[in-house]
Amino acid sequence: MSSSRTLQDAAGIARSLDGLAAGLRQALGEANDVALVGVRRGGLALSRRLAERLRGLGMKVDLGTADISLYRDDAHLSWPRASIGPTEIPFAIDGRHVVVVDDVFWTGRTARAAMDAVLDFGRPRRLWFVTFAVRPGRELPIVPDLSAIEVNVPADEKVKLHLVEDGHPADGLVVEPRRMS
Amino acid sequence: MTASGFSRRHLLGLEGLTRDELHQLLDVAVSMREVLRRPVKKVPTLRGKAVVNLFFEASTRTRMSFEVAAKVLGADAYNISSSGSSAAKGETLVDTARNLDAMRPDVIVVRHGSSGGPALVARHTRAAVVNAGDGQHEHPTQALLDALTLRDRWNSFEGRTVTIVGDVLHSRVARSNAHALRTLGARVIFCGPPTLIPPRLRELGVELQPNLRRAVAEADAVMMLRLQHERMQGTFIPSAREYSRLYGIGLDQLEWLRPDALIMHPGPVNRGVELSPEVADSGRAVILDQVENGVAVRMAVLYLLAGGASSPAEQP
Repeated sequence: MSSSRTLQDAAGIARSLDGLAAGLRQALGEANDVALVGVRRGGLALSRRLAERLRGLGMKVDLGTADISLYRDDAHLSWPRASIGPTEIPFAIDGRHVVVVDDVFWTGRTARAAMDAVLDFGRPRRLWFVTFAVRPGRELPIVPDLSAIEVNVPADEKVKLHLVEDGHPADGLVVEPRRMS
Repeated sequence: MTASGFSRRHLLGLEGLTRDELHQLLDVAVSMREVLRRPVKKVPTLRGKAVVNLFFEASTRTRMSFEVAAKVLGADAYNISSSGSSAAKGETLVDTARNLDAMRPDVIVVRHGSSGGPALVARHTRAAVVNAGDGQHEHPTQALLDALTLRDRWNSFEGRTVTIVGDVLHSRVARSNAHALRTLGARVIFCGPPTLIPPRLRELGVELQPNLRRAVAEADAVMMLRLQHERMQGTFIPSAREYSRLYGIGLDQLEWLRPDALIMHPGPVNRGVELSPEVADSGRAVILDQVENGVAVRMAVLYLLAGGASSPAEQP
């Protein structure tokens, strides 16, 4: 089994985030108002970083979070998660551009659950899905609107976006061996 | 305790649950309460799961809140009460359990007049069983909702005193609360007529103070129990009026409490007996918070018991 390796360092992450924010700004066209919803836990810090950059580009940004535990499609297969983080969307999403943000897109199942979670809070004008990294291996007909990097690694490795806000020593996009449980 | 799971198969009582397990249940309940407060109160978590409410005793709050909890989580809820069921025709509890089991429910919520009724059902079904109150034994989800109501305000139970007043002898609420609150680190005082205090208090780790004024003076929360007329087959108290005079809380007795002490009641309130209407409706009483938390903790219990495979051993 291979050891951990870093695909992007802090400077690379910063450039990628600039690119994601600029891409999203462009994709939103005329709209100057957007709501970001970070998917717990990996998308949380990322959504804050993106919000900061979009505000820097002159946008009005609302920031919320969603925990998808209650929307998973494998509740009948797996032992339930005993910890569920808060879902906080303390603003109206009806008629707005809402961007779901997660760190890594792989099978599409988390994205599906996150979209369902957000749609329980209202009817956005347009729902977007933005992710930092994309791995091949979709299991549902869903693709992100925007992403910074594609990472093709074997299934026994996991891709993690480490951001200092989550307690990591430095920003980095990291590939680690998957621990067998 | 692993981070991934709550590994109990049934919830028959709170005796024996660890402090971590109790906090874990309350943590999940906090997330569930957020769902209850949304405009769309429905998540698909337990879609396709069947929850049977098997109630052999009258109940408004508990049965309704289990039903709401199941439906908000997307499960189907079926209600059986003893008056309209085969129990009225003489079917035994074991037969009822076996017959229900054949219909493949995922969770059976049982309220029964006999202590141990839910445990008996649990031995004769593949479903997860939740005790919704059995005889004078336990009422675990009531104590969980009480603990959540207190934890919301206190954060920690260390150094806190809870006084439980009334018919402690017949009260499964008092027993479950004694187990939960002691495990969570609070001090518990029982107060009531000597005829209504259980003999083996030491095993529960609680103190006894028969004088109401002294019992409530030190309390951070006072939990008033309902006078259970239906469980009293004998002369335990001279009259409800005398009971109320000695163990009820009205505006005069309120003066004995610390200004920040909370007043709780599991419901239904016998107005003018345990609490005067002025006290029950005052800002000091947190009775309706208890009701909201009741749905949240029952959602947490259903989620943790019904979600996933029925036991870790059965996982692939």
